[in-house]
Amino acid sequence: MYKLIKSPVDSKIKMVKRLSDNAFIPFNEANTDYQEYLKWLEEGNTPLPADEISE
Amino acid sequence: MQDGSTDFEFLPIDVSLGRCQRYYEKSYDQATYAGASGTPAGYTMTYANNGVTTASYIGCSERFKTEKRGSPTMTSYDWSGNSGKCTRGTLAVGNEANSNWSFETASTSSWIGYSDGGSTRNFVSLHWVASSEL
Repeated sequence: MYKLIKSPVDSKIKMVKRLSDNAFIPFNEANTDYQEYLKWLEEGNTPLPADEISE
Repeated sequence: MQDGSTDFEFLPIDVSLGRCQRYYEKSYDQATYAGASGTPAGYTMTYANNGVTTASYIGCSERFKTEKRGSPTMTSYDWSGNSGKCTRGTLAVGNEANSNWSFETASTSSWIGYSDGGSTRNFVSLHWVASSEL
């Protein structure tokens, strides 16, 4: 399972957190963990939404 | 030995280490495994604005020793070895492990991260691992 992470700097989603080991995966095609995430999405899965940024 | 093969190439350890760190780098000393407890050496530590205590965000960033082959997957560890966490603290007052930690970005050259709140402290500290393996 994965969870989207929203940046408190610009409110953009640039990372996805792999909940099994708390690893943060950048959206980068060269990253093999990101490639696994894309495959997981293609299988019909949906990540948990990002938390709203607190003040 | 097959025709065309060459002798094993011995490289200086700093050269070998630099080549390895293109794929994997950690804040810990080389002999310490990621997730070790007991406040192992090498951690990243940053104070909040002017050292004032806060229960809100405390962020920090760091450049890698070696450029990565691609933006790496990042994992943080607090001083107790909990993954996805950091330690928030105040010198001479106390530390609180198991505080939330997130990475904001990771590029081939550096990372930025933050503790988005927790105990009222004036510094944040963590160990980290950057993995850009094939």
